[in-house]
This record gives sequence, C-alpha cells and structure tokens, in this order.
Amino acid sequence: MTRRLRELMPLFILAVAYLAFAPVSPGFATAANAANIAGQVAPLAIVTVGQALVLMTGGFDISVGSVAALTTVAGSLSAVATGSFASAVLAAVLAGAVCGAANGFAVGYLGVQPVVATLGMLMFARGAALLLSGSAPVVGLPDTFVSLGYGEWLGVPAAAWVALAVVALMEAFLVWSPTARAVLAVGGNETAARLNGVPVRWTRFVAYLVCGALVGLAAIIYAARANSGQPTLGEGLELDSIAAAVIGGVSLAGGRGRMWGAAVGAVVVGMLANGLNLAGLSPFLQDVAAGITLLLAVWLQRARTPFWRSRAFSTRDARREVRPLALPAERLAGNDERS
Amino acid sequence: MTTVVRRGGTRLALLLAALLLASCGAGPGTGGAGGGASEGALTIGVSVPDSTEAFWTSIAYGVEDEAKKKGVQVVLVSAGGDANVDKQISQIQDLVQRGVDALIVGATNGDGVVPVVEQAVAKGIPVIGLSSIPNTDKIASAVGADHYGMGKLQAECLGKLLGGKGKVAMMAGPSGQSWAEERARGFKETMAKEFPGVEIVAENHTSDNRNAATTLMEDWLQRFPDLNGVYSASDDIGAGAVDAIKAAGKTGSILISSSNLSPISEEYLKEGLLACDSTQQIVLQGRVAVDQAVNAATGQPVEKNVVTSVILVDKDSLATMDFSNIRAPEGWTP
Repeated sequence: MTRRLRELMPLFILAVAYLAFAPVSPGFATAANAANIAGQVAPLAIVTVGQALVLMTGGFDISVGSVAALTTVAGSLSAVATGSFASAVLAAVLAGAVCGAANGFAVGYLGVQPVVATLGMLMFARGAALLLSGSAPVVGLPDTFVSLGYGEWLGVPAAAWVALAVVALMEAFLVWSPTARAVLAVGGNETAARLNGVPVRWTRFVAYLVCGALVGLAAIIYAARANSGQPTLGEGLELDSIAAAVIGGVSLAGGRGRMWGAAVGAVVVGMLANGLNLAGLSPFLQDVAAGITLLLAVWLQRARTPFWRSRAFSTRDARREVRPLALPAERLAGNDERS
Repeated sequence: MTTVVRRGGTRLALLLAALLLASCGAGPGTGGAGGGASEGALTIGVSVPDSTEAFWTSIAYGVEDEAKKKGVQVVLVSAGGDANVDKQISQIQDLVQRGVDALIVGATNGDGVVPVVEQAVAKGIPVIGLSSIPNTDKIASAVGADHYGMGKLQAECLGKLLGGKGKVAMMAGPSGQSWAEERARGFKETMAKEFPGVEIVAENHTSDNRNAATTLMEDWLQRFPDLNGVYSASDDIGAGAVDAIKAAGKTGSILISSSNLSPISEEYLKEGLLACDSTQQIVLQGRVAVDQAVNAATGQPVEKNVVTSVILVDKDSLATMDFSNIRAPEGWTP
C-alpha cells in the first residue's frame, strides 16, 4: 500500500511544481504552455525511460548525451544522403542500439563497471560525432523533420505523441515482459535473481541496448527541433536524464521504479526550466531550483526515512519495502535471504 | 495495515499543505519583483548562448542598461554554452509563450535556431539577431560589429608603423568563422589598397588558441627571418604570437596587431608588446539591439542590418579610453 503511495509521489511533485509556478509565471497555467512543455520534454522523456531501464538494473548510462550527438549526426547524414525521413530514423536507432549493445556487452558480459564502460562510450561517441560531421552542424534535412519538431496533432505536439507512445510501450514492456521484469529483479537483488534462474547477463545487455536505441529515437526529435544534426548536442543529458528518473521514483540502487514515473520526472525537469523562464528569474536560479527539487524528491521517496513521524513507516513495513523484486511472488518463495 | 495507510496519507496531506504554503509564501514576493516594471510596458525577451562569458555579459549589460533607460522590461535567458542548442530552442519557445513583444537572439548556432525563430516570427513576434545571427531572412534586423573594419584598422596601424613597406604574416583565426574571415578580408584588402609596399608572406588558419599561435609563431621566426609584422585575428592568438616573439628576443623588431581588447591585450599594450588592437563596441551592440527591438515591437521602421563601428586602440589612447560602450563595468552580472 505504501509502495503504491510512493509510486504516486512523482505526480505529487509535479502538482506542487505546477501550483507553485501558476501564480508567478505569466502564461504558465495555459493549455498552450502545457503543449509547449510537452513538446520540449519529449526527447528528454524518451531518454529518461531508457536511462530508467538501465538504472533499474543497478547500472548507469552516462554516455546518453554523446550517443544522442552521434545518432543525431548519423540520422541527419542519412537523411541528407537519401532524402528519406525513414532512413534517418532507422540509421539513428540502429546506431544507438549498437552503442547500447557495446555498453551492455561490456557491463553484462565483461563485468566492466557501468560508469567506466559508459564513460568509454561517452568519449568515443562524442569524438565520432565530431569526426562524422566535420564538427559542423548537418543541415539540409527533409521537411518531415520540421513537421516532427514543430507540428501538432489534436493540439498536442507531434514529438509529444511519439514520447507518449514510447513511454506507454515501455511501461507495458516492464509490466508484461519477463525480460523487463527480470530487470527489476537483477537490480533489486542480483544473487536472488540468479538463484531464481534469471539470465542476469542477458538482462543487463538488453537494458543497455534498449536505452541506446531509445536515445537514437530521441536524437531524431532533437534534430527535428534544430532542423539540423548538432554534433555538440547532449552535454549534460546524462545528468538530466538520471535526475529526471530519480525525481520520477526510480531508485539509483536499482530494483525499483516505473516507466510512467520516470516520464513524469522528465516533465518536472522541463516544467522547472519553463516556469523559471516564464517568471523571468535569473538563469542561474534554474540549476539551483532543479537541485533542490531533486534533493526534495529523493528525500520524499526514501522508503525508510523517518520523516517527522517515523512510525509512518513501521520497521515491519520497511522490511517489506526492500524486498519486492517484481518477479511473481511464487518464483521467489523461500529464496529471499532477507525474509 | 489500515493504520499504516492512514498515517501515510496524513504524511502526504501535511506535506502537500506545507509545500503549498511555502509556494504561496514565495508567490507574492516573486510576483512583486516581476511586476515591478510599469503596467503596459514593453517586454523584450533576450536569449544568449552563455551569459557568464565576458562577451555576452557585456552584451547583456548593454541590453539591460538601455532597457532601463527606455522603461522596457527585459527577460534574459542563457543557454549555458554554445553546445546547448536544444536548451536555447526551449528557452525561445518559453519567451514566445510568455508573450514578449519582441525577441533578441544571439544564437548558439545560427542554423540550429532557424525553425524556432521562424516560428516566433510566424506568431507575430519580431526577432532581432544579435552578434551571432540566426541564419534566416525572417529576422527583422541583424545587429553586429564591423568585423571587416576591425581588420582594416589593424592594416592601417601596421602599414603606418612600418612606413608602408615590409613583410607581414597573418594568423587568420579559425576557418569557416565569418568573424575571422571578415577581419582577414578587411586586413588584406586595406593593405593591398593603401600600403602596396607591404607584402603578405603567409596566411594561416589557426584555432582561437594561445598555444597554437605560439607554436605557429615559432615556426614563422625560423621560416621568415626578416618578418616585420604579424596580423592576429583575436587576442588569444595575438598573445601567443607575442609570447613567441618575446622569447626569441625580437620584441620591437616584429610588430603585432590584434583584435578584441581583452584584459591580456590591455596588459600587452601597456607593456609595449602589442602595437595596436582594434575592438568592437560590445555594450553598444546590446543597446542598439534594444532600440531595434522597441522599434519593431511598436511598428516603427527598423534597420535590416546594423553594423556598429569599431575602434583602434594603442598604448597612448588606452590611457584615456572610455570603456562604457565596450564592456560591462567590473563586477556587473546579469
């Protein structure tokens, strides 16, 4: 029960942020601005659900920003060469998947620490992006890009529809697919997962691969918004996506989180920037506000934190919090060494 | 179990109440500060690549000072670096959403901001390009410096000091950057026209970097033992050339000119290591952009292209310089 409440926390944070900005930011609490924010956070939301999948395994992907740059260049070059939007999407998603697979192989099969493996990819992908593009933006994209970046359907930006579909698919994937549920098991308690026959290495590999592919998809939206492939894209994206995922209730220790929550976290990050821009406050205040929100979110979501009424989470209840591996309970019966 | 749930609920409710109180408490204060400008005043949105960079700080100073004089409200956003094209796009969208009367945009990337600028123009908001100009003809006005003139001033200074004859080499700065190309063109054309006796023996593209310039200058000292002067596209490049010439003990026999009047150049001018320096009026560009934005927002005529004039500085004129149109007062922050 408490877990359900905690899972609703991202929505609560979103509501508080919304209510805080509504009276002070001109033009904030309007339908047009909601659409504006939705379009802006679409690519971040897609990267964040990919990042969330990796975080749930107890890993990190700090290469997402560079991979976004590499894939936006790959997609844009492909679009310029063929004149086809579809080929751009294919090239970007494939390139992202290959980068993700390399990360996943290093982490899952070679046992390299996630930070080290993805740091290597971070440097490689940034260099490759600059080399491929000649360190200049790739211009001359087909018109479909601008339609994706600035078009609307039923009053909602096209990019937001794409993000919505991705989040829904990933949430369904997490709930229904054994591989994805294994992600939570691996992150929650690797030993228990292994003893239960979860293919730990394969699970890690898939998580990084999917993350890379999603970054490639987000890169197409970034290219669409700038109508060009920017090789310098994505600095700080790894931190934004991790922050968004954490605000969205994904545990950095792994084993816990929901995809929709991660997406809501991305919306919170985007809404903070938007609200402060509209309020006309100092540019430096934005990072301060984002930092405070992050800390507040983590503090609110810590299962065992005695807040001001420590009994709100009884010891018995807290122990239950540590346990859920999101595998069907019967598969775990008798194997959880902590119970 | 039910107790736990209720307690959890209480915790949430109390938190919600506390945070709402906090936000409401913050509300009137912030609102009051924002509403300080007079009702009905124009609001101009200003988007720059990085307000912590000295150049853009001076631009921001010019913008805000001029806006204060004109009674116009400014909303300044900074993308935090040239790499953050997508952040700037979002920030421009937010300014449009806020309903600003005009936009001033210094682009992180001239190509990358084209669609969002065109979107703003389509929504009836005039856009003024500032220094780093969005690459679209939909903008109402482009305000920049006379980079050609900066090269021209260097040529006039070196040509005169060399008595109209001798050999000079050019450190032309990064290739493909319009400011660097314009400055180099201004230098070459002026030399050819006004000082035909001065021969340009080399022109190299260098990155805008002091170490790279030092290395290049060391090579040139070997290659051109009878060199008389060096053109440098920017102060970092010029300082690198100065360092190499000083190390070789050739200060005074090889004259160096540069552009931008950064603190290092000021120092080198005072010490006589640099012959002269041409500079753009950065603060003035911010002021002019506000003038253009106000004109555009109120339906008055706008100049499509504004080129602010440039100034030549040497050791003597430095002492009596008025910096008010060149850079922000020390310690000023946006």
